Amino acid sequence: MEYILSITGHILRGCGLTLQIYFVTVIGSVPLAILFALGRTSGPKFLDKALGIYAWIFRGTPLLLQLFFFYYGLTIFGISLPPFGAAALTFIINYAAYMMEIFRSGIQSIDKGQYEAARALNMSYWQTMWRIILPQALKRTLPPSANEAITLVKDTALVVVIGMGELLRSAKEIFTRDFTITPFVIAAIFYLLLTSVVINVFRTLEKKLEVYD
Amino acid sequence: MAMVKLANIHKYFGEVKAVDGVDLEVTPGEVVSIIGPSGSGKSTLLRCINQLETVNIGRVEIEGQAVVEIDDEGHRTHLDKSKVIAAQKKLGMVFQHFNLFPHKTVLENVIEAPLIVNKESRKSAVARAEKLLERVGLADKHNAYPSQISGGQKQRVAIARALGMEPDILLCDEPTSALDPELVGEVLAVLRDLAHANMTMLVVTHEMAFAREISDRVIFMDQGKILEDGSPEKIFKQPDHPRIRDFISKMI
Repeated sequence: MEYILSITGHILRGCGLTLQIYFVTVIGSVPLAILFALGRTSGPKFLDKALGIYAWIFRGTPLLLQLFFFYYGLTIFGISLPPFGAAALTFIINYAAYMMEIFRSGIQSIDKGQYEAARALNMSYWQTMWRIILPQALKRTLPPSANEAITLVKDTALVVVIGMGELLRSAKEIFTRDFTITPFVIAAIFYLLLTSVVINVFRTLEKKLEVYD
Repeated sequence: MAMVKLANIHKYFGEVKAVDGVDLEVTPGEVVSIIGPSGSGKSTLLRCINQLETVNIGRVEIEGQAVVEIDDEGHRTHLDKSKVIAAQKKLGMVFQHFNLFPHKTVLENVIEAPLIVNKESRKSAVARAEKLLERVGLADKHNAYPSQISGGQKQRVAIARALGMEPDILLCDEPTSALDPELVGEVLAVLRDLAHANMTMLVVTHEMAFAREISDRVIFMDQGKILEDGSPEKIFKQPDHPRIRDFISKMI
């Protein structure tokens, strides 16, 4: 029991870094994705094209490769980011690409009558988007967003490759030292706890917004 | 001064001439019905008035203020933007498919634009919204969401929402066409009440009896043009064009 408590403590410290990356990614990528989605749906054509290429690159290459690029690759250009900075940047840009496409589909699914009603009431573009279109679009995109939010919990494990001591690496260290799978079981429980929280947050949100269906 | 003045309005969708050179003037308090076969450009004409459609050629004036002016060569006259917006605020619109905001309650639908567009205080916006909802017979539905009320009730909320911005002119685009027959009456009753209260109205409709009853003038449109413009008596009893007689006999 004492053994389990002690290794749990060690893994918990790794868990702190996992959570940091998680929240930085969410806070950074969601607003960016909304802005990009608006750019794709109501911006000039070249912006839509440019954002399409952005999505193509970041959804079409492994996150792991992108992580290498931002950590090691940028040094070629004389830019050297600390591991956390490189990880945060990679995750934000990568997740913003996915979320942009999710939000875009949500925005495009809103009936054009909503825009017309807002227009007829003399609402401006930003008033229309902020008050009328986005609230409905974001609600519709909750299920696919939940998928991304869950995937992100697990994707954080990738930062080990640039030498960061997150949850899974802490478990691996104990495994290497003691040669027992207990730390992996504990790590799995931690991941399950984290994803359960995410699932519950989304479930609560969906329930709350169900009132107007 | 005319409430709405349209001059030489042309609107094309690709090759199709939806509106093909329309002139129209509506005086204060006048109720004008626009009838005609589907595809005749009635709705498009109405939507050109509040700029939901941008005209290709023509001039639209609201209470003496031009809101759009494009000459035959497609050259657009520069207009003072704040004056255009002020003029457009005099227009309210009711849609065929209501277009209520589904994520907002009935009351929130009505106060949204007064709060957000006019920056009115919540207290006065709510007070007026409550009066309007009472006027359309929905005083007990403040907190309902659009999904929880009937089509006729939705359209009445939509009318209250349009009136919430205190327009001088109400544009109604087939306000009863999406309703079950038994719900048409309640919406027409509200529109009738507005007509009697001297609201200037332009109503695109397929309800011939209603058009005949409430209109001061009836306009018959066909293939993007106004074929005839006259009193309801004239249009419904002895139109100049046999085309109109055919249409009306089929509709009644």
